[in-house]
Amino acid sequence: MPVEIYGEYVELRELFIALAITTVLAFAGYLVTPSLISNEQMVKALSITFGVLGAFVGGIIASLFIEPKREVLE
Amino acid sequence: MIDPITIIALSAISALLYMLVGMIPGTDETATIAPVALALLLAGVDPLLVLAWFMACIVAFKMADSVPVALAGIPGGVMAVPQVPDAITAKKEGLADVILRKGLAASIIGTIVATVLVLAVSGPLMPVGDFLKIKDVVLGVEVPRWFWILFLGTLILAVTSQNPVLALLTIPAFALVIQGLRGVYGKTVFISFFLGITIGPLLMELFSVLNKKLRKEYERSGKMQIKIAKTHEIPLNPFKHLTKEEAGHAGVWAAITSVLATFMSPVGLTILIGDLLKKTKKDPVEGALLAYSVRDAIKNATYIGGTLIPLLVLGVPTGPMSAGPALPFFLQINGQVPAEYLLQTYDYMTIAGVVLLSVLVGGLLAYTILTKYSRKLTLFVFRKVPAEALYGIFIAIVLLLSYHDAGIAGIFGMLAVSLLAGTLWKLGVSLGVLFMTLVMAPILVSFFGL
Repeated sequence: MPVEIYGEYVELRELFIALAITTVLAFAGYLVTPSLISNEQMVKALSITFGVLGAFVGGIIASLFIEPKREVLE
Repeated sequence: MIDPITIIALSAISALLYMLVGMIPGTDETATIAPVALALLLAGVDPLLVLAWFMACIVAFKMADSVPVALAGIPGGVMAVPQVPDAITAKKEGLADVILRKGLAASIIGTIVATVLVLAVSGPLMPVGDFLKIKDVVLGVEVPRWFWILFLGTLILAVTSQNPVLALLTIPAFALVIQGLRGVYGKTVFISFFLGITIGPLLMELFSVLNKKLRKEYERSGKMQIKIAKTHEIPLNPFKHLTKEEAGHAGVWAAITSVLATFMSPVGLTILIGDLLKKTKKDPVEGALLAYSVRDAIKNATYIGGTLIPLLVLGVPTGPMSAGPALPFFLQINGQVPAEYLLQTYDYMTIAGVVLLSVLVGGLLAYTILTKYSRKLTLFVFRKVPAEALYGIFIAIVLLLSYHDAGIAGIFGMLAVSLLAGTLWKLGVSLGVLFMTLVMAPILVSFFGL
């Protein structure tokens, strides 16, 4: 049964799966950056950018198999 | 000689790009704009061109980062965080796409007001800034005068909270928690605490649901119904999206905060003024719409003022904006400080003209595109993007930035701050009090004379 969290209906099991995917990809992006770029100053900035991109890609993957629990009424 | 066509093309391209970056939840301008500015300056690009690029970027970025807030309650960047509660109120009323357009309209008004004002009167206004920067010794502590503006505002937010007694007690207590954690970390971290407060209510509800007994309260059947009012043609005139009051407040506060941002925190100003205006309304929905719109105007205004006044008038980074995203302009790069090079090489009118052109091109382009597609964007997100994925992205980014701040300890420190914030929120302390306490924590704690 869905629960209402922060103004949205979510299925807990699906939320934890989505969170696992986004977190793993975020940290993967963050931790892998230093091995791709040599300039230290750029690593500092880009590792966060790649981490955020990882989280974002994770969110897209989760969107492919999780159904939104909303009904839009116009 | 700088060619206007180059400026227009450059501004248009960077605005388009950073409009997209701005919409991605969690991206921060210090991380996404400053390094690119630094790289361009290091590569030897004329600082005036970099400035044009920079201004178009921040204008488009600040306009776009509230888009995911309006649609999903998730901030596109740190500056959009204060708008989250307003947007959730609006969404419950079926006003998601309305509030989105109100924000965009206020943004473009704030952008234009701030740019014109700052370019025209930043010089004559400087004595005010100098006055507020003076430090007085109060109870043995050196305190800059602007601190009292923030402090008074926080007291007002506290006494107008649902739980004023607890809110007042929270100010010194929470300041100690923040400074205590910073002491353990050995550095002044900000972002992970800031995000910790933000996700406090979300985590509070999430952890409540993990308790079987408490879960009953949160269980729902079927799907959530979201109303979206029918709209026909979406007008581009920003004044058609705002009430007279909203537009007036947006313009006035954009003007005031663009100057204050020379030395004050843009986030602090956005929280403070939005929350105070919200309290002037009896109807919570009206209050949310007003606060959301004005915050959007202030976001753009503080970024513009916070960059241009230190850059063109003072020549040194004086506040969180110039010492943050705009810092590359004040660094010694290839044997020259770009800020000095700008003023020595070009006359003021040329710089002002280039800034105005890039801001207008970037701002109007982002505004037109985002407003035109606001409804389609809203429907797409509601129909296709599950809340689970959005919460997943947001929490993952919070975890990542906390880890970046202070390693594994940073994650648990964020969790502690977050649970405290969530509990206080549930007990009726407005989050604005916590945000402001975070901004003032170092000065507040020094009054204890430890």
